Amino acid sequence: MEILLAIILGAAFGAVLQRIGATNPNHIIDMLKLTDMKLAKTIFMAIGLASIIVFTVNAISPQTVHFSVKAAYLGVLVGGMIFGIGFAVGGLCPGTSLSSAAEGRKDAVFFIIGGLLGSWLFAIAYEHIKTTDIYRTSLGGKSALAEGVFRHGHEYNAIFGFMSGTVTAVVIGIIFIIIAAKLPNALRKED
Amino acid sequence: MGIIKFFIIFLHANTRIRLIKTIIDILKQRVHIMIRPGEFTWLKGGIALALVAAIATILVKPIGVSTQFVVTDTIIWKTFDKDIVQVTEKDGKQHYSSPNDYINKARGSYAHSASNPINYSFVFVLSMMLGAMLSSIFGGPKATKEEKQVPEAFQKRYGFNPKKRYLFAFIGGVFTLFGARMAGGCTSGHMISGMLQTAVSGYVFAFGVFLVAIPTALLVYGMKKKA
Repeated sequence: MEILLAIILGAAFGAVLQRIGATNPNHIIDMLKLTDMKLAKTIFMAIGLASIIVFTVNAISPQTVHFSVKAAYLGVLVGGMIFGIGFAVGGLCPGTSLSSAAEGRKDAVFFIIGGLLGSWLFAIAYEHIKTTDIYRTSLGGKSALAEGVFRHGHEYNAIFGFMSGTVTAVVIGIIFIIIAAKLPNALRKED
Repeated sequence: MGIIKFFIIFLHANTRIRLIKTIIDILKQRVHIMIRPGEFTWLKGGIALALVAAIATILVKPIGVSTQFVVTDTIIWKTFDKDIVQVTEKDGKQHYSSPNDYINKARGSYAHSASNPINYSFVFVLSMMLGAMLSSIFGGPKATKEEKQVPEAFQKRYGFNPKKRYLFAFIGGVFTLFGARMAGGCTSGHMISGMLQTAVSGYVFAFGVFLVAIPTALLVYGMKKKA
C-alpha cells in the first residue's frame, strides 16, 4: 500500500514540478536574479495553501497527520548557505535536478553526478564535524510555530503556544497566499 | 482485421514505431482536452503543488528528496566496499550498521535503505522522475535541444557553451547536496515540507539559502555579457 502511494504521489510531485517550470534552470536563476518571480509566487502559494489544508485536517482529526518536524541547529543555517551557492550556480536543486534529467536535460545529469559526490563528501566529513558547533548549537531544535503538531503521540514545541495551532497555521497560510498574489512578476529589470 | 494488424506490428519495426506514436498522439489530445498544455500559472501550479505536498504529509510523511542521494551513494559504495554496510541478526531481526558514522546515523537507516531500495522514499523519488518525464511528453513545457544542454539564463551571460554549463551544473550539484546534507534537508524537505508544517528549521534553512543564493546568482549570471 505504501509503495503504491509512493508511486502515485511521486509521479504527481514530479509532474507538478515539471508543469510549474521548476525543472527549468532558467526559472530558478531568474528568480534568484529577481527578474522573474513566477516560481516564487507558485511556491508561496503552494506552502500557504498546503499549510491550511494540513492544519485543517489536523483540527478535524487530531494526531492523524504524519507530521515530521526537523531540528533547527547551526548546520541548517550554514548548510543552507552552502546550498545557496550551488542552487544559484547550478540553477537546480536536488528534487528538480532528478526531474530535469528525466525530461531530457543533459546539464541536470552533471548536477546529479556532482550531487552524489557532494553528499558522499559530506558522509566522509561528518565524523569530523559531528562534535563541532555545527551540530551543538541549537537554533530552536525540533520546534514549530504552531501548536498541536504531533508525531507518535509526542507534541513538538510550539513558538506560538499561547494560541490555537490551527489559527497560527491558517494565519501564516493566508499571509503566504497574499504574498504569492501581491508579489510582482519581477522585482528588478534585466540588466 | 485486428489479428492482421497485430502481425503487421510484429513484422515491421517502422509500423510499430508509427503505431506507438499515433497512440501517444491520441493520448496527448485527450490530456490536452482535460488540461491545457504548457506551463501552469502561479495560481494553478501553486494549488497543484499544495495538494500533492498536503496529501503526502497527511497520508504518509512530508516530501523529501536529498536523503536519497545518500542512499544512492551507499548503494554505489557497497559495490566497491562490501564492509560499508553490515548486517547482524538479533532475535530474528536484521540490524544494519556501517563503519561510516554518517551512514550509520539513525540506527543505520541509510544502510538499511541502501540494502532495501524498495522503500517508500526511494520509490517516491524514482516515480518522481517518471512523472516529470510523462509530464513533458503529455503537455508540459518543452525544452528545445539547445535548452536541454545550456539554459537561456546561462547563454545570456556565457554564450552557448555546453562544457562550461556542465561544469557549472556539476559544481552546483556538489555544493547543493553537501549543504543539504549538513542542513538535514533540501528545498523539498525543509522549504516546502518544513514550512508547511510551520517548522522553525524550514524558516532557518530558507533564510540561509536566499541570503547567499541571491547575491551569488547576481554575481554569476546578473552582469551583462562581456562583448
